[in-house]
Amino acid sequence: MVAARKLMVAAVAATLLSGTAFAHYHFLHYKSRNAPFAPVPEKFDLKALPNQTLFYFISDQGPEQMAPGDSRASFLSQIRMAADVWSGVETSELRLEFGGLFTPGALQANPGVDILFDEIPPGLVAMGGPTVRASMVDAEANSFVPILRSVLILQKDLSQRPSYTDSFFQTVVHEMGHALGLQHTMTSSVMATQVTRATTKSRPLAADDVAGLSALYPAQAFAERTGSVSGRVATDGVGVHLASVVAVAPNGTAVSTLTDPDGHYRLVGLTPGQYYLYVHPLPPAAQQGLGPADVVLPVDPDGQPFEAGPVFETVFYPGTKNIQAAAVLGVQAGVTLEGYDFPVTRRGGLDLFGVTTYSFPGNYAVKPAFINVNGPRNFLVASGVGLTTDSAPSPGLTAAVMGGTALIPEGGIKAYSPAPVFLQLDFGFNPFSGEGPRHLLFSRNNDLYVLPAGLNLVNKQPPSITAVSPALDGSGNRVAILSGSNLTRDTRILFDGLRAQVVSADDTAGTLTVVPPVGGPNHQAVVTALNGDGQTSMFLDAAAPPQYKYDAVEAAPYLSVLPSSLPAGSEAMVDIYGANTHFTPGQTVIGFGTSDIVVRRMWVLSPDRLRANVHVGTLAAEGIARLTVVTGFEIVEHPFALLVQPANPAAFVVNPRAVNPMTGLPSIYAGGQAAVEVANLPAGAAVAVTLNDQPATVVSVEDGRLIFVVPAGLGTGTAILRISVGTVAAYPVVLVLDAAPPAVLAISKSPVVPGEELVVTVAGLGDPGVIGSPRKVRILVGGVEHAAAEVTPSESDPAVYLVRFVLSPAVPQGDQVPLIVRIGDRASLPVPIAVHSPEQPPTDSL
Amino acid sequence: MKRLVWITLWLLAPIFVPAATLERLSLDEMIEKSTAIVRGKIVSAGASFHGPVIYTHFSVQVLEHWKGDDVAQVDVVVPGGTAKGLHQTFAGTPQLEPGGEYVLFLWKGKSGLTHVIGLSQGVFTLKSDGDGGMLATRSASTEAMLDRRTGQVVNDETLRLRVGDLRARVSAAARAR
Repeated sequence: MVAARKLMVAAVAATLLSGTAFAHYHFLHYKSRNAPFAPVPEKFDLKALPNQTLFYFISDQGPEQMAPGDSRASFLSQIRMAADVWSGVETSELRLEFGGLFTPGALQANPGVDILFDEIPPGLVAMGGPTVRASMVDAEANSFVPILRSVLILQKDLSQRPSYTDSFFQTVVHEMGHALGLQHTMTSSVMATQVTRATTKSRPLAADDVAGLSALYPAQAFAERTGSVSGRVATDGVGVHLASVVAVAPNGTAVSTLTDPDGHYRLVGLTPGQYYLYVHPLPPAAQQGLGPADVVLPVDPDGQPFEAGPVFETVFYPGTKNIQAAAVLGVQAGVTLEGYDFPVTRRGGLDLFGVTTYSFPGNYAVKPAFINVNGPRNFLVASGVGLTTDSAPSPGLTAAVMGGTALIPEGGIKAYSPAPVFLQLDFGFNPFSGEGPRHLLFSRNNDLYVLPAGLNLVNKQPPSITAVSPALDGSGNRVAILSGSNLTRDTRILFDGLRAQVVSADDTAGTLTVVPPVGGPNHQAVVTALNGDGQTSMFLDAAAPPQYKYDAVEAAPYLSVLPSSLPAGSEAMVDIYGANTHFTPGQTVIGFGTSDIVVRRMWVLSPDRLRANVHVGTLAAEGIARLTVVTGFEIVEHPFALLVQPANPAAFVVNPRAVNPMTGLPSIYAGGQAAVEVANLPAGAAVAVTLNDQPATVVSVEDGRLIFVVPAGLGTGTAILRISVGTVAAYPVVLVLDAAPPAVLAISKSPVVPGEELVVTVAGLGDPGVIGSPRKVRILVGGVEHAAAEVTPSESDPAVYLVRFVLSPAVPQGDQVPLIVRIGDRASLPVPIAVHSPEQPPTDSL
Repeated sequence: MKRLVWITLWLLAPIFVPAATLERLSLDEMIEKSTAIVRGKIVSAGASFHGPVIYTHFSVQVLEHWKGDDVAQVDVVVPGGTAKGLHQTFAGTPQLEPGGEYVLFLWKGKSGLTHVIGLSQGVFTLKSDGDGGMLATRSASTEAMLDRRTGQVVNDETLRLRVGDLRARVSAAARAR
């Protein structure tokens, strides 16, 4: 009821991130010393990145010492997997890609992340974060401080930190999060401190991480799929700065944010559902020069920090320490719940914070605690400030599980006898306990501490791999047979940091057959199993993890590159020829080791042939660039791959990003028109154009924009574009031809009233997957985008689909409102429909 | 077996500060792992690039040396600083002020650069104890710890010590070795 009273449909998706500013745990600036405060986060400028892709470069100077069996290829695979974790966030626009190996030297001019192996003193494991920033980009609602360069520094001596461990992987994910602009949170995410972190290699990001990244680099889906809550935290009417506000689903995820200096907050990125809301003060700093919880304090335009507000009592909304009396908020996608204010009471200090939990599924302590509700060890062990006193539970300490899915019986709170400075919590479960993260509530001395995901319930033991046997499949291809326990077809198998394809599962024998990733010579890969419940085989197998050893190779691989030189400022197709290589789609990545040379896109043509569109920056330094090609664990380098020559200011330069001039979208097709930007092309020039050596008809040449007709005989896939004027030719580039765009065959009614359902009959969607994922199909009406609610095949023609959606109230009215159906970048021609107001109900149908 | 479990756990368990992942070191561990321990005064600071990373070099006038070579001055590097018109920051790095006096636990790597141990863990600020002596202070650890070698639970060291007591701890550790 409270939620209903407070509910204000403040915004639909398009405005979710404008207006009242949000502030996750980011590195923040404020434009002024006084309210109102508009948070200005540090982040990479997506508009400055090619294809919104941030390249990371890995130093060739290390690691110098490694654990037995470890290799540079192993570390490389783990680092790439860590980058893929962030790159895979669907609600974020930011993508990360391998940019090659490099020798650390001078700073580069373009944005990027440098991953270094450096001499690090004892006590320090890794560092990461933005190192070079530009001046603030001042915009009304979305100001930011551009990060130009970030760094991630790992130890040169990794002999004590094997690459396959969860701790190494999570350290890289964590530091990479810093490099992208995320600070620590207190919400058990990978960006939480190790003390409260509850992620694993199987579940490397928590909802809080996804929300934090997506708030910085929002994709359209972020606003569409999530809701938000806003309010103010104040004590005696004075706003509290850096109060942490957390929305926590009773048996699910937790997402947090921090208040601004005036106590306001806006908590974004909540997937629809039921949440409790609570606010807590940050724990004290452990490092000098930082704010509470070691947060980097926000600064004003003069660089002066805003100090944190006072310590206060942790409470649930609406101002209660009793979870039974807490309000439940119903969060909806695209909706902001406003006015969730917290009047809080100061307190002298915190009695409880920084709790870490462990469990014992096997011979090792596992953190965070995973408890098999069907197993014999129904307890966890916890450490943290205020839990124990004199080797006994602190006087007055209570503990509970939010939501009641697990109960702590009488006498279930006790000192852990082998080490009584730690606390043991015993649990009782019931058939409805379920699976997933559960949140712990501790209280003492009127202090409340909430630990999101402090306990993870599972229904079975972790996976375990007891043997890895090389074998050949029926076609003579190399496979590996894994034996063990709790291995299923859905189990993900890693060879070091690379995923192996599961080709079959034998439930009777308890084995999995997988295809190992492409190997390097004599490479030894540690094999890890990841189950969907968050558990990994390292929970049981960490002491002696199983390995798979690749064969020696018959001959060393090597590369050659054509062309071998390009001028600064150029765009060109580059062919890469390999010998003794095993280039494989999905496993091969390439990079020139500098953000001055960008691989826009690469295609694997065969095991020994690659093709790429390459851009050499206009400010690229003259000299020789190296090329690194990584396929699985096979690392092949060409130290003198490309000579960067001085720029030729008069050269024709073709940008390979071709668009359909009718839609402006980057999707072209045989028989349709294509537009490309060509630098230095004179208006009206007699341009000769070919695609895959077939002449293309030129439509126009204006303002450096060339429009031509794609020859009708070409199929889908890549095509080489060559452009010349007389005897002067541009470097060829590769274009990608799509299938023809969808066509609208019929619309269920017109005129139509906003709020009504429309059914559009469409041909040429070309993707049967849209039936299960209808949101892939977008319908633009009068410029307002809708996601399809349902897509079904037509009864008369399975190649024709019926697309259903409800017309948004935001659609402008008129008799000729254009309707366009789009899937990906393929868009139909506009079809006019009439949109009338509800006062003028439609009477006609098509 | 449980004790073995905990040893394994804590050897692998780092602590984190913003932008850095740290391992909490006890005072005895810091004494053991340091290549030099000095009481010194910051006399100058300047920054330069080492690869793409800027390090600030603090020139420390050694007032007392407790461990390592007896030198009059030592060059200590800390990540971050301003060089060639660019500024880099690393949260959690020690805040050393020119003119300030500190006890520094230092570690010299193969490169020849001398670092502070554990980012700021190896920096003790010095203040008068109001009784004619000096107090060395470092932010106290709030976490329970196990000794790396014995596996026994230990309370974290009190990291506010009289300078004389800290010097004695270092000497005692040196004698024990």
